[in-house]
Amino acid sequence: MAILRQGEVVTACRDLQRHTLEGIHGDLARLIYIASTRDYATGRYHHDGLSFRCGPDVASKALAICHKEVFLIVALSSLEVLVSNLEDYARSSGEGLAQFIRTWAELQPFRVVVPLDCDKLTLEMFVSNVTVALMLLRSRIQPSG
Amino acid sequence: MSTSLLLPILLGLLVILAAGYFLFRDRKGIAPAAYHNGTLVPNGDPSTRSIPTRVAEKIFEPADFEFVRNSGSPEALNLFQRERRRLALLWLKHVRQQAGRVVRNHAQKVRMSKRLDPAGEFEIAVRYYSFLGICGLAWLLLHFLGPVTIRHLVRYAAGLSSRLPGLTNEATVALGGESDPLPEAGDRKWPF
Repeated sequence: MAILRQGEVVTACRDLQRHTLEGIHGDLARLIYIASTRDYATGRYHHDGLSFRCGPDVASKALAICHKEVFLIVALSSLEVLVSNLEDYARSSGEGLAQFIRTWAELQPFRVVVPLDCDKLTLEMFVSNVTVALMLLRSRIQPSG
Repeated sequence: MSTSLLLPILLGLLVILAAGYFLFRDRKGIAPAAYHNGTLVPNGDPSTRSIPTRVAEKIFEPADFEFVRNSGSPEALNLFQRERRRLALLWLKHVRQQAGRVVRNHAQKVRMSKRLDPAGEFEIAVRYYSFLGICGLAWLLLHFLGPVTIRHLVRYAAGLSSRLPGLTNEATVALGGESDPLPEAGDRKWPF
C-alpha cells in the first residue's frame, strides 16, 4: 500500500462524515453501516463514492478511522442512550421489535461490527452493554417475563 | 522479651508505618470523586484519556446501574450486575498485569545496576505490594458488593498503580539508566 498522507485521510474522514454518516440516524446505525463496508476476508473497507473522490487506499483508511471512532462512541455510551439507539435501529429495520430482539440475542450480529484492532476490555464492554440493552428492550415489550 | 522476637516485631512495625506513610501521601494526591446527577464527571477532557481508563470509568460508574434498576426488570438488573462484575474482574486483571510488567522491568534494570537507592526501592516495593493487597481486597469485595459499591477502593488502587511507572522511572534515572516512556497521560491519572 502506498504511503498515505495524513491530510488526505483527514479530508476523506470529513467527507465521509458530511456526505454519508450525517444522513444516518443514531450512532449504532452508523457503526453498523461502516462495519458493513468492510470485507470480512481482508479487513479492508470499500466505499465507491469515497474511493472515487479520494482513491481506494485513502478511503479504506478513512473508513477504518471512522469505524474506530464510532465504535468507541457506542461502546462507551450510557445504557440509556444505547437502548434508545437500539430501539430506533430495530424500528428502522422494518422487522417487529420482538423478532429483532430474538434474532439479535440468538445470532449476536453485533459481534461483527467490532473494529479489527480493538482492545479486549472495550470489546467486552460493548458486547456486554448490547446484551443488557437487548434484555432491557425485551423487558419493555414483555413486562411480565 | 528476647531479641530474636523483638527484631521481627520492630521490622513489621517499620513496614506498617512506611506503608501507612506512602498510602496517606497517595491519598492526598488523588483527585476526589466527581459525580453530578448520578453521572461521572471526569477531570479533564475525555478525549485525552486512554481507552482502558474510559472503559474503567464506565464499569464502575453508578449511572448505568441506576438506569437498569429504575427499569423495573429484575432479570435485566441481574444480568447487568453479573456482566459488570465480570468486566470489573477483567479490568482488575489488566491493571495488575500492567503494574507487574512495570515492576518486573524495573527489577531487571536494578539487577544490572551497580548503584542502588534502597529508600527508593523500598518505596516502590511498598507501593507495589500495597497495590496488590488492595487489588486482592477489591477482587474479594467485587464478588460480594459489586463494582459500583467498591468504586472508591478501585479508584485508590488505580491511583497507586498509576504512580508506579513514574516512581520506577525516577529510580532508574537515579541509577544512571534511561527511563522508559511513561504510559499515555490518561493512564497516569485516575479520573474519578
